[in-house]
Amino acid sequence: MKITRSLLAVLLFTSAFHAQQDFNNFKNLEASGDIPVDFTTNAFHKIEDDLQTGDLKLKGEKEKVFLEGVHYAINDLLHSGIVVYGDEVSAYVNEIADKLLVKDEPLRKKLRFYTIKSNETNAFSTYQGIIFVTTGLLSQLTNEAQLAYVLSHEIVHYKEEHVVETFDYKSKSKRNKEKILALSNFSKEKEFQADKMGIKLYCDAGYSKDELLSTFDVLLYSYLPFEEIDFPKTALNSSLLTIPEGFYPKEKYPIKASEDADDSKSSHPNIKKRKEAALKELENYKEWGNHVYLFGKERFEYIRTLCRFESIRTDIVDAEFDDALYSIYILEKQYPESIYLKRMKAKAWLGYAQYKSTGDFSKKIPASTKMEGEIATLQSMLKELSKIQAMTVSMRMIEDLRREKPDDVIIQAIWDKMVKTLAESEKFKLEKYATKTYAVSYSEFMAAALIKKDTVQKTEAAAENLSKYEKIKKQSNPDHVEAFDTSAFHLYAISDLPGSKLFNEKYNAFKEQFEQEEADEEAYNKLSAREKRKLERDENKLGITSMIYLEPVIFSYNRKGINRIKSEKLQVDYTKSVEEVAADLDMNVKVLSTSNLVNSGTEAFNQRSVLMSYLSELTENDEIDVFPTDYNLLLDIKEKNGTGKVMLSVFEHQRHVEISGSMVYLSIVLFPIGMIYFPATFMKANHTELTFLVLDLDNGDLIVRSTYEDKAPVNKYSVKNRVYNIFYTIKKHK
Amino acid sequence: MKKIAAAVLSVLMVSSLSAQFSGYLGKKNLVELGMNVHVPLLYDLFYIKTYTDQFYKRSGNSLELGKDRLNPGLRLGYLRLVNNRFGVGMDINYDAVNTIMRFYDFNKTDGFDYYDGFSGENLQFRSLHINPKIEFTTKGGLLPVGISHQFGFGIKVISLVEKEYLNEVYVSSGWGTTYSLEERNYAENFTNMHPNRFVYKSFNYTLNFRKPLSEKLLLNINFRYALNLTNNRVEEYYTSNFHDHVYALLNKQQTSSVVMFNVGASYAF
Repeated sequence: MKITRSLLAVLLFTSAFHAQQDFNNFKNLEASGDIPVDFTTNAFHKIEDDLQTGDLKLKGEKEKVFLEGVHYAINDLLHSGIVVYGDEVSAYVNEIADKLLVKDEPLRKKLRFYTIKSNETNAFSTYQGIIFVTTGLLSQLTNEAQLAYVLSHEIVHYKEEHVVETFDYKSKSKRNKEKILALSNFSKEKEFQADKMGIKLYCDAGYSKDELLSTFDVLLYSYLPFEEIDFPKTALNSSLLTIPEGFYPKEKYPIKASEDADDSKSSHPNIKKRKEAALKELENYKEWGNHVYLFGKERFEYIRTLCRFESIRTDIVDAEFDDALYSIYILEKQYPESIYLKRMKAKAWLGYAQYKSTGDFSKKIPASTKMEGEIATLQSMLKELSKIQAMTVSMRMIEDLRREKPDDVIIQAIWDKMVKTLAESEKFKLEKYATKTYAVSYSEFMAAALIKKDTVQKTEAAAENLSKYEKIKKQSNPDHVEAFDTSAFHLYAISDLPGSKLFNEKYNAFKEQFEQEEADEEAYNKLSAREKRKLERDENKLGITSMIYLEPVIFSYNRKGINRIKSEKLQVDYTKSVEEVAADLDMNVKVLSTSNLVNSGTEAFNQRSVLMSYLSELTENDEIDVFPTDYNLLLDIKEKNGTGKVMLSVFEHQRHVEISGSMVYLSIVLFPIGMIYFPATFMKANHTELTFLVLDLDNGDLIVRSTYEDKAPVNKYSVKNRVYNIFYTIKKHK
Repeated sequence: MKKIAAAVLSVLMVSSLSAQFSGYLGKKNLVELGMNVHVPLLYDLFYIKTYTDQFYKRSGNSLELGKDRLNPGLRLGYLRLVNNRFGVGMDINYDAVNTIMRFYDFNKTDGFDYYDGFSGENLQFRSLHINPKIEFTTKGGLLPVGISHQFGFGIKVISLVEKEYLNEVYVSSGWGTTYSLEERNYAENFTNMHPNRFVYKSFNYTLNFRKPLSEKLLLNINFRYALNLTNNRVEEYYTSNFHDHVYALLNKQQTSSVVMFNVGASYAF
């Protein structure tokens, strides 16, 4: 028996060991295993089930409003592409939950734990019994016990039905200042209760009393990066790049967070009060364990590192390039050879350059008055650089990475995009750049300055004999020694590139491409309307027979706003239509939709998440020519599906009868007008708008963007007819 | 600027994807069968208003005052889709039509010289309307689904239903203040009236709405607005010719029959 147990332990250890990631070749978190029912069930089915069960304290209309609100909100989150299940982080969280609820098996069976890929430091429980933990939280923690306490707190929220109670309380009162304060107090009570009752679960599991209060410190400083490490002013300098110290702040920015912050309108009590209450509660428990880790320090640190690596990707997707660069700086100290970090660094510099070139970077970085901690040194410098300096420094950084990893296709693709960004910029003039480095130029300048100074001293001796007029001329044009212009440091930062064959070829190719596009536009504008139509007709025949179809975003509106149930049912119909039409037209279409996850499984879920994230990147960063953060994953999707064409669509419908008062009056006075006006008004009440896009994963280009507006009624057949027409159109060959 | 220009061009090239012609789920022909409903509101409002112009219905062997409430009919149509927004076709409508009947022939009253009143059973007709049409939808629409507009120009042949119509005549006799009033009923048979056909040209516009019910069937609702014209402009009071007299009565009905409601189904193939 003992032998069997030992063997099992060895096997488990071995499998865990093999499952561990190599951080030098880190792969982003993705879902794994069987897809949970939470992800595959439509919200309207969940609502129907809950209404039938009738377990909820709320009744009538309130019950329906509550269920619709929570199920749609959580389903949206589950399908947003940032939630994962069955991954190493979720597995770890689940194992800790097992320990916390070892004495309450029925409750444990009700709860599900998933990970959210987000840099918010957060965990929350839902009415449905799902507890979400963010990678941002795990990145900030210092030990497993802190995570156990956060989970205990959330478990109490679920057990005590705080979500329902808060909804009930909120719905009883209208919003005004006093009610908001009352709601804040109500919410704070629930938080104190969760803190207090959570201690019991934490204590029962055997965790150490000493680690509990430090969890509150994590929350207090969670807005800062996961480590506070000095960022030296020379951190980015190299033999080819020198960023003068003047671009960095003279002093460090202090950390301002206070434990005793004003919480009068907050949903949570301030940290001071929470600590005090917890401290008091701790004394009620006598039998404390001494575990900081039940699953080992290594396991915790491994999971935390996973989350920290993941956080860099999230920063870049969210266009928070300063945070990404600082986190990379921290992690590279431990993993200097990580290709993942190098790729992410290249992306961050590219994104930074692109945002700087559009002038929108200031929106992405805190104001100087709000900068805090060590990261502020980097942030301040990034902010201080001008557009052209930022682009040049980024080019330098990406070029260094390309030289370091010349065979890496992803870094090469980022490098291409960076060169394109330079070629696109009117401010960037390659001929202005020096072919010598800053250091060499500076030494040469100083040497020349010394000679000049010497000459001036010699000529000054002779100047005594000058005439009055020669002296005046000399004063107006003195031979003083000029200072080296450090603000133009960027002109020396890519001294190796003007002579680089590869760079010149690429740069000139992009320049020619832009010129060609201008010429094309000019030619297009000169065409007659008929010629334009013909050209468009030909352009539109794309000959696509194989593609990935990402589920449509559907909004069906009623007078109150979005009718979520109708929208979701339409989405189900839409997805079925896509599958049926693809079969009718003999097209190979891979549908990635929440409506068919039961059949398509986890691989499709992961592919869908990657595409959703890419779509989010495109829409959130529409000012720039986005380089996909998940470029390698997109290439994988293309390979697996045999196509790089992805169709996305947004469908909106509203039935709204607009009756004009003046027309009603006219209809009364002139009766026949009403006979035309009223039928026409009711028939025209449908407003439908469908926008669809086809993306090419090969280059990230949008190859189709089309919008249809019509007055057609909406049901599954009219939707199918529209889908049929779109597929038929894009299938046509030129 | 270059970036903007490039973006403009790229938008121009990709944003105007002109939909290829695909019909309704690939089907480009529609056969339609529907029920017409004509409520002669205008006719009732403008022409049936005086005591001499009442609408009488037969009830057993006598007449009773009524209204021309509703005239049903049938429509059989065909539409061939030419592209996503345009189609051509033809409708055949077979509808019931009613008019009031007014006294027209003095001889029928045996030479009495004073008539206090005449009530005639409403005349009943059947209208056959053959209507070639064009149909189109506005930009963004996809025929045959949703709202569309039809313009038609057709011929309408209206035939009187040949049967016995009941008349009631009130005859006064005597002079001055002394007279008697006698009611005489008689049936008049228009079976032998020749010709009993009345021809109109019909220009019409139809506001049409189709909602798909399945992959082959669509619900079809429309309102047709028609202008019915004829060359026969005879006034009823200036003729003793029964055909012309009826023509005159029918003209009023037809010129006021401007709206027709139709509900039916379209079968796509």
